[in-house]
Amino acid sequence: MKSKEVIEILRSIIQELALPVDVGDGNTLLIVEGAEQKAKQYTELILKHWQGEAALDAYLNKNQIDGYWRMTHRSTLSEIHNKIEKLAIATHRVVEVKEVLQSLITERKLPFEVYYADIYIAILPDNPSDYQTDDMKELETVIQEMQQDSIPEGNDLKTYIRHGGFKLYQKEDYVDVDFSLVQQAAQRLQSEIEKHGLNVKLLHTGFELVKEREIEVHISEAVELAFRLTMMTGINYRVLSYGMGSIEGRKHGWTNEINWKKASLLNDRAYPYT
Amino acid sequence: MTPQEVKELLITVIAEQKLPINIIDILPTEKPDVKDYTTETRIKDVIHQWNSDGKIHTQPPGEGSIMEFYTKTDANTPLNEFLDYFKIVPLLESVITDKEMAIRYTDYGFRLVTLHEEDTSRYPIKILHGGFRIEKTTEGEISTSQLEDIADRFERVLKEKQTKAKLLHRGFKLEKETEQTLPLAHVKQITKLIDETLNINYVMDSYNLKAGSEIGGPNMTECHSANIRISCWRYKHRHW
Repeated sequence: MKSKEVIEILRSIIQELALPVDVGDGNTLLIVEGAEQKAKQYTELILKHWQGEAALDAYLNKNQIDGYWRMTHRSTLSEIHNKIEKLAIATHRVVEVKEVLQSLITERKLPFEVYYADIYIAILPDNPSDYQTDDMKELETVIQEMQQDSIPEGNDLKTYIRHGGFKLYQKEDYVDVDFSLVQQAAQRLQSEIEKHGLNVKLLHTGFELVKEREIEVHISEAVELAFRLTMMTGINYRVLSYGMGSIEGRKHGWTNEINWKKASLLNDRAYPYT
Repeated sequence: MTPQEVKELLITVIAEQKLPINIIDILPTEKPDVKDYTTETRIKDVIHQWNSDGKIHTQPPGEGSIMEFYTKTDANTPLNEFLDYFKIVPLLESVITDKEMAIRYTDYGFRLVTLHEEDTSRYPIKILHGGFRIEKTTEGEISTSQLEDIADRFERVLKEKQTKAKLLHRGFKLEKETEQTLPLAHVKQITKLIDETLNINYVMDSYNLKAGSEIGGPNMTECHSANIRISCWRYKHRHW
């Protein structure tokens, strides 16, 4: 079964459940295992052969990724799988974690709304070679055809190509999803595709805090909430980004720290495919 | 008891002793920009120790492979670091004066974590929002016996109320009184003295460079400011 078929099944389940989300197809992920420097060198070499010199230059010098791919030489495949398993376990608790977060907000009388954000469905295949996109096959061919003499010395380098799963996007801003329906959707997908040796992992990586820009509350209040939530739940949450949003309507003197509109409270670097 | 009630209890027992100490709330906006991973890790360690029956979802504060290097924070003495604070501050002030270091310090205050033993909810750990710091209202002496009385009374009430609590001190920021840079040797001298005199495993936890300064390396000798606090590590100089 291919990822295109899986995404179609997922879309139809979402439609049946009337979930207000869209599904985005995942990135191709290249994992290179080996000694740090050699693995880095090899990863860059593969990128050059696969996407060209300009892509490598943009990646190295501007940290830009043009296309649906990600790559890492810092995490091994097993570390990535462990992170996914750990995150999937934490995702089972996400409804009550949101309640705890809401109670902290109420206790401080903070004018924040909380929304589920960054929901992924990862697919772990029993046989990865059976679950490939055209993009993944192309990358595999590129690696196979690379001249052996261009590969850094050392036989400890290993490459893995994986599909980055699916991301669920809220169709409208500030309309929260019923997470129990998301869980239902993931369970139904699992029952549809497990016969093909595919395992579904539902992953929730964070919340979005939202307030009106006119209401002045320093972002450190959100940082403190994340800290307390981390200690209470044992899941590491951090405010990883915040901002005022649209340029339209901004007033002179506003700052991101005080007049922020959205803050992303993320399970700290939990999902390796993004 | 909630963290707020535990804080109020501390205020009450201090007032009973008529000590010239105020408890000042720290607002989240007053906290430093730099993350204090050390105290965060020590809090996780305390929670992990409290969780002997495995009721709470906690993670050990370090990977298994590094736990042998880890020093456990004493989770059973709620006011231990509060008592230490009144030893560290005079020592810090005297060494700065005696050695003419011209350094000023900022107290990062305390974090407070609590656990009510009869709380059957899945998330019984509570944290005081922001934390607090101590302010002496007069220059008068505070005796060790007075502080120990406070600790005894505080611990007794906590026990009656079936509450576990721990105050964790977040250390101090050191910087020069003038625009000069701060020699790392001075910072290390201070932490060494706290360590040797009071037997508290103090370290330079991190330092900040001025904007535009070159990134620090092993040959760095000066910084803009430095943070000193109790170490996570059993063995000295592992951190730096």
